[in-house]
Amino acid sequence: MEDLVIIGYGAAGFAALIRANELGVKPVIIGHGPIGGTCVNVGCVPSKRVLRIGELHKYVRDLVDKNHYPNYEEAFSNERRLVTELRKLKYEDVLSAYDAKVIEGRAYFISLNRVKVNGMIIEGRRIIIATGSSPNIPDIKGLREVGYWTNVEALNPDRKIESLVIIGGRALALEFAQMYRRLGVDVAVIQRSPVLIPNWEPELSLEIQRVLEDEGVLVMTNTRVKEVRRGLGKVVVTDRGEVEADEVLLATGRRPNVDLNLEAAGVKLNDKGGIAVDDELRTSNPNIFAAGDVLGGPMLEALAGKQGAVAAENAILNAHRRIDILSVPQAIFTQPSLARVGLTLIETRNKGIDVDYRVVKATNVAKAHILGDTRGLAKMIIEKPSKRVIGFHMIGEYAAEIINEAALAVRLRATIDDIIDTVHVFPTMAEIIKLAAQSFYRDVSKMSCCVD
Amino acid sequence: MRLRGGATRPVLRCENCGMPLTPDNVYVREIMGIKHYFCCEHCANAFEERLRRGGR
Repeated sequence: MEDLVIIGYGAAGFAALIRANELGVKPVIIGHGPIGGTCVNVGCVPSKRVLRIGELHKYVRDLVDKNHYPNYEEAFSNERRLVTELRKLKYEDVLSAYDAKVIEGRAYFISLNRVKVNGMIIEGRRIIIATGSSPNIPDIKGLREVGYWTNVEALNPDRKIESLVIIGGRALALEFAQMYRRLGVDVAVIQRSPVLIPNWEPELSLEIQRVLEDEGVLVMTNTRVKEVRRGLGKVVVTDRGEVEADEVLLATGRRPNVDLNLEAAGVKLNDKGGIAVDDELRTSNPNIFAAGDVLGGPMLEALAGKQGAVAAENAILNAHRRIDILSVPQAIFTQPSLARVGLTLIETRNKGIDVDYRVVKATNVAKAHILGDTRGLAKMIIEKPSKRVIGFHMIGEYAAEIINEAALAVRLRATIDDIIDTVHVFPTMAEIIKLAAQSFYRDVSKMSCCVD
Repeated sequence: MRLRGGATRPVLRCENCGMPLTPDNVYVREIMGIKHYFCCEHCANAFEERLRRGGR
């Protein structure tokens, strides 16, 4: 019997492997597909690279030549080289530095503590399921017949396209919209809800819509897709008219990869279709844990990594470790980027928390003027009696970096006074956090730089 | 091909007073599980009161 079996070798699986080794356990790790999972191969890494290429060329367009766009094929070729490089550096080479039995194949459960893979039966004292997620394909008439892209194809296009319709309006849709727009492609985004990213604060939803529209993206909110059919290109029929483009990209969420015959292991699913776990990432089978996207919760690389490590500790040591979900930040890497940590106002209302909030515009930040980009805002939510920061939401240059300070503030249950008492480097965009905290006490538009 | 389409682009408006919404004046409230968008908390309160009384 193996001490630990890990199913999946993406972010969560690798984190579990490394922690297991550190605790003196040599696990069996089973996975299929390219090592490293979604993030390094067809997710975070390649998408941010193409976004960066678009960003650099946009600077050229803004300063020198308004018709300057990246070479489409070269952009993706560049991205593929980076993927190969980082997969080797962060996964293949790392794997060889640790002690593990690696099996490539699809595993499925045959009993409470046994899996079958490639005809072999492997018994585990403890098992961690970290099988990740896959694109969710909605049931739209004509979609499968006409064909579509997911993030996989959009990051490895088989041809150059001139136009793209994106179905969906959350993080992936926004990033790909700007990515392709900055490659010179016409882009339309079709979103069912009244706003983009409807689970984010509404100020950010409307601001990012404005950003994309200013770049020439056609944003259609409150719009339902009825059908997809063939025309000269691909025609997306909606309740507000038709849009036709070379290709259709689905940005309609991801579903957990739970097709492992979980019933045989007594592992139950939650209402999101992911594996149900308790606070310690233990499933309904006490010897099986789960981590990462397969839980159906927030699908974030950093969270998957944290969960993998925690699952390994709890599985091996029964350490009772838990994750403070409130302080887990997330970001959308458009330019300007968006980022959030903690609760939204709606969430505080639903929980009955007595709160106050302030919104500070980026025009109050000296660095925004220095950069020549004053778009954006930050919204800080505090618990009223204690003045602890329980939510921070931002759109603006470097928001995805700045959010880490806010995440620390939420994690440490810091108050606005803690933030104000912390000197922030001038001039930086990060000062917006301090300004947001100060705005509970004074009008920050009437302050000179670095006033405390 | 370039993008083709005659799709309209709806403007988000306050569900109480009809004012167009921007990042500077948007407020959202979840009422009976559905998000509604307003220009301010006062409009949200008025709308919610009307909804709970059974009218729109």
